Amino acid sequence: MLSKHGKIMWILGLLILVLVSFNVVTIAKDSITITWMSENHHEPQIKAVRGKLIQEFEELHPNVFIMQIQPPLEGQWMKFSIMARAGITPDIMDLGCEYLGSAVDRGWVLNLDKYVAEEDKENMSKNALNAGKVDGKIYGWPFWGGIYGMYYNKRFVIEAGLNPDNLPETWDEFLDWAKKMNNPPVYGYAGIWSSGTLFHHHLARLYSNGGDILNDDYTKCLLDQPEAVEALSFWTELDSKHKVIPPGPTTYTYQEQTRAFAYELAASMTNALWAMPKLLGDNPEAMTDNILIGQNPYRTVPATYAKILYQVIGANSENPDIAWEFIKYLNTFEAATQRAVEAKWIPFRTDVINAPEVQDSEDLKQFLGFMETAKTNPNVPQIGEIQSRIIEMVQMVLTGQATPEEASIEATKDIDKMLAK
Amino acid sequence: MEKSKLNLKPIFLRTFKTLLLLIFIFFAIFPVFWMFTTSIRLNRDVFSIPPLLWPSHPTLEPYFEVIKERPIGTYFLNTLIVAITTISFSAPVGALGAYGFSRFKFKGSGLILGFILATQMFPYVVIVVPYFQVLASLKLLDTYQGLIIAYTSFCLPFITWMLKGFFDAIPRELDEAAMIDGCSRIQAFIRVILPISLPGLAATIIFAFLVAWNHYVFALVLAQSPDKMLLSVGIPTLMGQFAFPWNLLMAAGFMAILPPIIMYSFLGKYLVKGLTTGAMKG
Amino acid sequence: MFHNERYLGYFFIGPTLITITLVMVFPLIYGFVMSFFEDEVILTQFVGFGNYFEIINNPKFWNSLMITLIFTLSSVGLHFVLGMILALLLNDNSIVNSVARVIVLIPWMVGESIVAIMWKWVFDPSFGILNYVFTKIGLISQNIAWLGDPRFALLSVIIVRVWRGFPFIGLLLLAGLQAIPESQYEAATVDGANSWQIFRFITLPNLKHVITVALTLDLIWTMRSMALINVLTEGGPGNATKTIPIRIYEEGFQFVKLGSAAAYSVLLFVILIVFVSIVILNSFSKKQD
Repeated sequence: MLSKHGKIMWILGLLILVLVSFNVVTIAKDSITITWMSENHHEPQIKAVRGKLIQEFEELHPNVFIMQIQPPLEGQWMKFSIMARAGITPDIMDLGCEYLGSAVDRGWVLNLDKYVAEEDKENMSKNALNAGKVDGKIYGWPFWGGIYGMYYNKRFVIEAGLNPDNLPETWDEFLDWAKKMNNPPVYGYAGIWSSGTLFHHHLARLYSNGGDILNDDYTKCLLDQPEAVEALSFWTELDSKHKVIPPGPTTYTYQEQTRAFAYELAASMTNALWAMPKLLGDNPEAMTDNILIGQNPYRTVPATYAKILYQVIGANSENPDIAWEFIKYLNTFEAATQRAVEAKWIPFRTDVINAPEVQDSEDLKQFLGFMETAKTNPNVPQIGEIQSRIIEMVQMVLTGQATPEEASIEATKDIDKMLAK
Repeated sequence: MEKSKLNLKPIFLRTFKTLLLLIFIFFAIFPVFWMFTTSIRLNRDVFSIPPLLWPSHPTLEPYFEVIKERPIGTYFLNTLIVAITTISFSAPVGALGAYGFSRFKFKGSGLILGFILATQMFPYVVIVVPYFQVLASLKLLDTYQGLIIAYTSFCLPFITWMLKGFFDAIPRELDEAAMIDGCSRIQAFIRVILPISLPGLAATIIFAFLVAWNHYVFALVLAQSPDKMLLSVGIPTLMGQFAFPWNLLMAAGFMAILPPIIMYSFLGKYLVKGLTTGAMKG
Repeated sequence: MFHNERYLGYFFIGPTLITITLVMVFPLIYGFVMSFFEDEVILTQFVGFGNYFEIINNPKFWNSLMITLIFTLSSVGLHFVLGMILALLLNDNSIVNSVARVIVLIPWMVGESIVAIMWKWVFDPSFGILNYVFTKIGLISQNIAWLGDPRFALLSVIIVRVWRGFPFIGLLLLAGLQAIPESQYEAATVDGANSWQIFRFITLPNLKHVITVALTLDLIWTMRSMALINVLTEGGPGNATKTIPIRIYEEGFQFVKLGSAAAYSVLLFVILIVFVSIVILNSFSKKQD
């Protein structure tokens, strides 16, 4: 009967239970563990650089052990918020700009003002430094970021009879190019219309028309203003009116977008420098020497969006001083320069930006050129909800379930309600 | 039964049944087959238009790369420990409970059973918040025990409820016959009912193991350090923001179903009628 | 149940009850209590039924409810139809069948996130196999965005859920079929019953208990499922596939409003209790066979 197998399973189970109760922990007695949570630890373009820096730091500080915690993509915020509620936080975490507001408001991250020295502040780009502040206090230390520009496929540009040395600057010029390069199955433009990044792209368009989500003191939503409605309607009309976007846009995440561009199914795409290694990795034959980089098109004022990733120190960290030491180490001139050149991260240190190695790298230099006009999102506590509402707004218009005016008014009403609380 | 040469009906029926079965198998297996062919491609062969069914240069390289890129052995070991221990505990306890609910209808037993079922009606994402806090205060975070406790919370009710259904299908007369023959209630349970319910028992254990094997939410939140990571959380870390190696991902996914398949081939034979008819006739 | 066995019942049920109470009671109570608090950024304060009122007055909740019901009932219904057919097909113990039984469970063995990613690719408008095949055989004239078109998104998501679940139901039903004594079939054939009558009067009643179990489990799991839809469409396009569990995830984590998420969970719980009770009471009334 079950006797033979059953007995085996019972014995196995008991054995395991016994084994398990002797949880062996192998961390040396007087070492300090610093936990560093990030969704990007294992990314091929990042892994080696981080590994090396960790090793160097551990050699300089023999009693410190840096533990990398890698949640899967999209899983970090959930994990962090659950941990933080229970009073447990990682020592260091890479936090995106779309979460900083919420984290600060709940008291889940430390105020860094007492750690940051004057020289650190001087070396940091002003805009980036201010972006990491909430109510004038520093909470996020800018670690790396992406500034949005426009990628073009050189071959399609030339084949359409357009001038690769005179890339579009305004919306209308861009639309003209997109239409000319549009030749299904190749489409003129691939955007991201799904998930979080849609929020960032939409802000890039909003800013380039002089619009904004909120007013200066964060009390009123400005999405129903003409500039905002225009930004919404112009860019969704790329699909509804001009048909220059591949079908099913709301399923396009970062994966689908970069894939479409890499496999030459789209002639242009809004993206930051970090896409470069992905494109070259996906389809080296087609992508090498075939990419042109232009600015984010504008209507009224040249502007673009900068997605910044901050490093934060968890509020319940037991070793905030060492954590800060490590953060500083990751951001030394040498380390930051190396990261910029090898891993294609946008540096925020002014000395790194001006370093010869960085200036020599063509694509880095181009994206750094956009930094003048780049702005990031406001760090309000409700930012998570606002992001979701904006994504909904854009998708409703994109799929024809609402007009731009209707969707903008609805979204503004909802966001005003969120701000009122 | 006379076999008439003119009677085509059984042959027609059998062909139809086989055809239908093939369609089902095709529907069930095709995406997995697609997964497999993806796992033996080089990265640049993964996408193409039109989609290629079989890669031009099949290679096992992705499998080796996964092993290099991730400590997949650790993931396997951890998941095995948690899943097997959970099931080893939950199966006997659940079987006892299921038998109790099936045969003993005292006051409140229905309510208790309802309560057990009701514990499953909350989404994990809400449950996991207090779970984390409780385990944190008990210092059971990042431990096998903590994970096993959490996994028991959904394995045990599942096993109990499923086995109750299978036990209900066995007529009471059999228990009574055994007890009249001199068995105690417990002996009747072990010697008579359990063997008859073998197909159900096997199915339940297989499914419970699979549920535990693939569970994600508790594994994500309740374990933290790299050496306690489970498969269900470790494999998705291959999905990067800036690199998304489909072939590695599918290869890892395939490796992950190996233990379930092994377990299934062990227990699958119990899903078969033959062993039960003997006991029934007795 | 024999007269002197009253306490024996407690012995059997005891370990299960105690274990489950230990591992589940605190989290559940916490969830209930949390739903009466407004847990947002900065403030955590008691608001009584405030969260519930807000939810019920939100038309998006009712939209999500409808989508959840459509998703759940279609999926579960199809699970049973397909599962039953599969179980009947696999009932003979031929060699083909023993191989088929392993193969057919394989979809269920693969982890959910990988399954979702895989199907997303299958449904992809440009790279996916579905559009390729359909256009080749002339079923459609131009690529359909299965997951991106509000008309098809829910349907596509249901297809994936059905694909994932029907082997489970099928094998459960198979296990139940295998326990039906041969003698009943023989008696029926002797009485001259045809296959449909055998199915209706022998097979189904014998499967009643297994069906009840499988149905309740499937209802609970499907109504609670979130990971699949989240990867496939994230609830989009717009709100076309935003089921209640996805809303719960959004509220609880993206918006950091755990109180609201807990309230949604309680409402989902109530809905599930209603459905499960219907199933169980139904099976009780049929007991008088």
